[in-house]
Amino acid sequence: MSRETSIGSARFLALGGEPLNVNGDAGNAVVLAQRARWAGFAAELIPVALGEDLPKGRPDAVVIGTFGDPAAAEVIERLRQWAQALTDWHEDGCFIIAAGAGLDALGEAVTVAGHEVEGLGILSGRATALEQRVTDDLVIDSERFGRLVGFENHGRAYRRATGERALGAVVHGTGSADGTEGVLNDRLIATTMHGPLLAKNPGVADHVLASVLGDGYTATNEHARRADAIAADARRVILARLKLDQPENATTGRR
Amino acid sequence: MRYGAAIAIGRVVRTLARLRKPGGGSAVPGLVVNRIAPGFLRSALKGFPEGLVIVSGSSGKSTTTKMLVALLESHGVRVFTNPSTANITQGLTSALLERADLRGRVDADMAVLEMDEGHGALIAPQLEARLVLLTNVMTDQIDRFHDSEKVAGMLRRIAERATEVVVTNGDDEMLEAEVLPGIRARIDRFGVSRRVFESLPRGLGYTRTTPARIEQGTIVEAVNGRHTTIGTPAEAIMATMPARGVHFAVDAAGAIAAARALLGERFDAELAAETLSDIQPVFGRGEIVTVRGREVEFVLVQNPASFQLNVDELPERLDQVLIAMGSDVRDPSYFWPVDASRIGRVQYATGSKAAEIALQLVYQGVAVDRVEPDLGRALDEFLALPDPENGIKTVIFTADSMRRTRAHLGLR
Repeated sequence: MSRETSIGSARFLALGGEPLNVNGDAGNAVVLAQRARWAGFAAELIPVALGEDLPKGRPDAVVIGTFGDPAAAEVIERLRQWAQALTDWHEDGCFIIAAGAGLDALGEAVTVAGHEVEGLGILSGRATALEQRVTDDLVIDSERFGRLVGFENHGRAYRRATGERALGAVVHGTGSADGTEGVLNDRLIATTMHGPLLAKNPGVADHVLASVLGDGYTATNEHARRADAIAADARRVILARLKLDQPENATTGRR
Repeated sequence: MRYGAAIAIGRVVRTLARLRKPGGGSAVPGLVVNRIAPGFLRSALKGFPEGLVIVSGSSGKSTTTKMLVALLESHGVRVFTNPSTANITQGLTSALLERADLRGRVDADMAVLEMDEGHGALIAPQLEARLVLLTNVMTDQIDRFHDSEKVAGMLRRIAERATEVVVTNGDDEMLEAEVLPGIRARIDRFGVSRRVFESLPRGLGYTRTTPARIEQGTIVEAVNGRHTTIGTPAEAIMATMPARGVHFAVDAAGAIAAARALLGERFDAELAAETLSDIQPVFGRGEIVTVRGREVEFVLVQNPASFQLNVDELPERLDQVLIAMGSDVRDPSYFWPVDASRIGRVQYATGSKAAEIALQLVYQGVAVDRVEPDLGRALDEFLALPDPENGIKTVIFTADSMRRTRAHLGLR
């Protein structure tokens, strides 16, 4: 879709480069950009490596992925250099999507190898160690989005501060180890799930896109319908393996 | 005769297992013998007059092991080697039982064992290896190993068992920084030249790559399709690889470096070139097979790095591709960093993770004609399509789907 014929344009940032993409989390930015293009918008996908300067001008959304434990302290320190800019953008309308350790980094503090490291402070909770590492499917029921399906692989959990709203209740898996997981705020979705969760749960992607692109955004185009039918299959396969139901229209976005 | 009884029992178990499941049951005798005679494995592996060699790393182990064994055998060394298997302790014991006499001795001069880093690190403390060959560290099987730093730790436990020499990939920064420091054995390096490195648009695919190419060691100087020139400290070896791709040449460089270290003055460069050029491609690694009257190339993808390498080496504008992803990939998320857009069009996405891989493909702009989780049906329909307009039918699969594909098509 060329800029001339598009009905608007959008910019999506994938933060952190390769260390924050080992589980394909930057794929969430790909999903946002593709769905925007499929809906007739011009979309720009901008990867920003750790240590680089952020581009000028507020993007429509930023994606912060998960990262490995050994490099965690260094990664969080580098992310912190962007904390002020991210906070300003967020207040000015930029959507933040964080996955896995990316959620941990958004809080006040993160426990790394037994020591507390200062987080970005965009959220007010703290990420502390779990008794043991968890690697499993993660299924949650969200009031806003219905049943969401993903994967978790973490040795820490984000403990929400008072007043922060969970993304959903855990149906299968561990999440924050208190029966809930993630954070859903105005223009912020953060989850223990890693990987391209917006592809598998397109209702969440459509919520982000409708929020940043406005009413002009729809997911009724042929590409999105095809992708969403495949995503429904992918969720069905996982839920069937876990002997869970797939509630109808659980993750349908704006149609 | 210490293990005579255990060996005899292992053989009976093997016979019984084969009666029950012809051609199968290979790990069962090992399981039984390891239970009744836990010292057997260690004792048998100590008994090789020219010692033990361990090949480990994330990727390229099988090819490197095969090349090294071929090089040693062509130089007259009688080699015991293991079939690659999921559980090395049981598989290896079973394989040793096949060849051992009742005193527990195997009629070979040297053992060359391929070990996956997880199981290798577990049994390594029991072993002493003359030479350890390390291929690389790639982000691999994340659910199992969590991260590459952990893989590096496992490889260090294996490398520590080397008494004479560690042959290592000098382009791999994880090996250099996390595995080699503190190793007492001599270090011999292999790697690629700057020219070869600069020809790779996405680099070598290792988790971390060293900033500069090695100056000394066994160096891949040039790669042209299947032809490669590998420089050693003594001479250059020109050989034809079993399939195209720089990674085969790198595997060959590792095997040459190890063979030179093991054979010393017996190493013959001309013989080595002939031996490497005679190695046949392996199913799923470049071999083109005629199935039901159609030529098909089968491409095995073991991890994101090998997926990317293989995609980059596929001819452009292929119009008949089947991709199968099976239950061996627990969570396909970690394949998303692979840019598969070069494929353009996939006829079938199949296997138990068909929908997940199809999802990645459609978001990367690849047209996916059909999502068919039933691998057998997808293969049948794909093979029945008329010959492609461009290139040949190409099947890309993960290890589990490869096994099922071979079984379905009756391929050896």
